Amino acid sequence: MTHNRFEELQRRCKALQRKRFLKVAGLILFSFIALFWVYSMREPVTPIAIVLPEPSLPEVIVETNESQVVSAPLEAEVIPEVDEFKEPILFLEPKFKPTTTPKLPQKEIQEANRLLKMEHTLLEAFNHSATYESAYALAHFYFERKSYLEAIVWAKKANKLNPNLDQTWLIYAKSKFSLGEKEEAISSLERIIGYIKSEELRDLLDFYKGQR
Amino acid sequence: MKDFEIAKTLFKDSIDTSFYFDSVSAEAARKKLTDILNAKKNSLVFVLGDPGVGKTHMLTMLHHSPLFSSHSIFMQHPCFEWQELFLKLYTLKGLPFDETENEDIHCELLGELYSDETCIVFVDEAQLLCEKQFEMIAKLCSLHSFQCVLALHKDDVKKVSNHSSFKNFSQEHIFYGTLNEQELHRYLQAQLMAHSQGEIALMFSARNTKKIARYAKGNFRTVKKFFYNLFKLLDYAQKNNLTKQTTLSNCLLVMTALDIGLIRDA
Repeated sequence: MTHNRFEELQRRCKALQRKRFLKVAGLILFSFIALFWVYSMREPVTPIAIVLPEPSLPEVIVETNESQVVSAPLEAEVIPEVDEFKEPILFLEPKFKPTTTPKLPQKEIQEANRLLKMEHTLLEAFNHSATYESAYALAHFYFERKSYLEAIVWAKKANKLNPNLDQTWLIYAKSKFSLGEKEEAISSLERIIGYIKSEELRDLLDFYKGQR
Repeated sequence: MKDFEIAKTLFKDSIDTSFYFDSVSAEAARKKLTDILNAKKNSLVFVLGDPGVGKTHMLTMLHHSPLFSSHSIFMQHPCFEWQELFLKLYTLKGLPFDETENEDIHCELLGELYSDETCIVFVDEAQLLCEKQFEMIAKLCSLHSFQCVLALHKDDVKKVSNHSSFKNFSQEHIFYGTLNEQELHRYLQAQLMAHSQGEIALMFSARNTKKIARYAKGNFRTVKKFFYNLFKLLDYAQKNNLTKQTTLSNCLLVMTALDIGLIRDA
């Protein structure tokens, strides 16, 4: 291997690589131009309309007085003539587009979220410290929302924690009454009145007895 | 410091029977040929393949192998006279060759000599044999004591196998394929590692060998030539402090391919 030979090979290699690069670059450029040309020459897309063939009218057989069978076109009797027959056009894409997008009831959603947060807070409070107040708060919360079953559960819990207070008994009796268990509501009120002297309970008992 | 001088010598274009590379095609061909020769069914076996795939190497290796060395002769070049062939056959049996006798008498004598043991005649470059040589091989095959293995180029098989002298003999064809990319990588690593040139072997990535395989088209001879020239260039660059060219690069591979004429830039 001589120095000249090595240099010559290096020179040839560089020339070859340059040639290859130009070839590839030219090919890419040509492809781009060809693609651009094809894209620019392309016609705009028109909607495809499918024209249905005109329906051929069937012939019906009409019986006359002479008991002869005469064939007459159905058109005259059955199908009323239309002034202008419009060819139905079926589009592949639905033409109808709603002008306004439907909105969700924001107020209700906000209210539901607020109540959910409140319930969560009350439950957390009860879990943190199981007191009569927190149980009563939950019973009251569910009673206000007309969730009577839950209200009864939480009223019972509150009564266990402090059976001497009348608020939760009132919730209990009212919930039972609202659920249709009138007798249960009255009997429970009668039992409680023996322990707790409350005007409110007595008034309620009288009212329920009057509702019988 | 990498010794490219030693690495270069490992890829000289010479037949080294001590080294055998077990490529898929080589293994398949070797196994098939060994089976045929052991079965002693076919009088004529043709080993076909492109020039430089390793046909000669395989014949040389089998001729020197303990399996056949005691009862085989190898005609390495196709330009031989009948005397040369017969001399080898007599020498194998440890007998002197009498040049005064004619060809037919020798044929009879050889038939008697090899009646107990079949002799294998390996002939390389069989596509270059002349009419007289074809007839001579046919004569030996007709004695039923000789099996002839002819290595020839793939393109010339029809000309040789359809020769009028060979029509009466049972023939077998064995194809010898090329190396694939993975085999080439394995060959390079094995050859360099076997000669303590691990540092050089690590220079070659699978991507490099893939490129070399593409240049050489899987031809064993071309691959060896490529590596020989590549190490020659690396050796020159190292000795002349051309640091940029002492590492394996795409440019260096292109330079090698240009040097041995695998790429035409004109």
